[in-house]
Amino acid sequence: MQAVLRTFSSTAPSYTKGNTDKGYFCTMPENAALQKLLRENEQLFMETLFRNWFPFVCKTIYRIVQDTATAEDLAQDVFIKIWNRRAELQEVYFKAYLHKAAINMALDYVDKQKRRGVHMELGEQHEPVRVENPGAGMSLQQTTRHIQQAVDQLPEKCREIFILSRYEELSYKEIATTLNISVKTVENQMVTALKKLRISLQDYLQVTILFIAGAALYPLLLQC
Amino acid sequence: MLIGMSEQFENIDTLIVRSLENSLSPSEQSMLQKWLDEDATHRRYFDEIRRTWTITGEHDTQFIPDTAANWQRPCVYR
Repeated sequence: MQAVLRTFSSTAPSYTKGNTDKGYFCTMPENAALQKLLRENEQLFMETLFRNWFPFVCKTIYRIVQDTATAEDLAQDVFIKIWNRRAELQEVYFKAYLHKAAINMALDYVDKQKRRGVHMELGEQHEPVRVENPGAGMSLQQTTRHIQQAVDQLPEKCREIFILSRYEELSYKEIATTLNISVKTVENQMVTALKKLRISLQDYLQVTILFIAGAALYPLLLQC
Repeated sequence: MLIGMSEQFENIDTLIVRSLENSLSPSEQSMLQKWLDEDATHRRYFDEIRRTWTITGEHDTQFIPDTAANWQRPCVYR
């Protein structure tokens, strides 16, 4: 069993936009191996799929719902759906299928929360994320937390669209299809997101500018 | 025909977000390039948006779920 799992984890395919254009069908060897497992041993197929793709599914959901326990519960639901539909999965490309299922599960959850009157928005104000001396002695975790805080402050729909584009690597057309909105709306929301984030993260942008300027000047200083 | 200032900027913003996913058509690419060459502030604005795009991508969530513990949870397929 361990050997089977290792085989899958070391050969996990990369998911590119090209794959999404072709739907869920794939002839990659590792996907074919999963299909073979599904035909021969459903329990082992499920365990292999789960152990290899649970973190991916969970993180995809977490980026949208922003709650670890909820993300884990919803990820479990994704795998339960896979199990219940296993008879229909003989030709699918599992990574793309899981990715889409995870996104839909998360978006459905957010919609249900909205209908119940529970708003996930963390804030509408777009003041800069306050950073004490950014870059100097700041850990990667702190920087990541500040940047996530800025993303979390985006208006809900804007944040969803930004996350689907930036982290889930969906094209604007795919986002429009997923959310049943126009591509123009997606582009407008991306403009809004990036403008707000540009303000929120201005301290980090300044550090980047200084770093780039410093790197450009360094060879000149060496010549002096 | 003169394009209003706000409309022009709205169009440029759209071109910028399209450039981030490499979906600009050749004519849009030329239009964006022309706008960038017009003024140093345009280039600075474009660079800041691109850097915003880059740094947000470099700092994805660090949440790592406990796969083993989740596999042990009671469910229909075990």
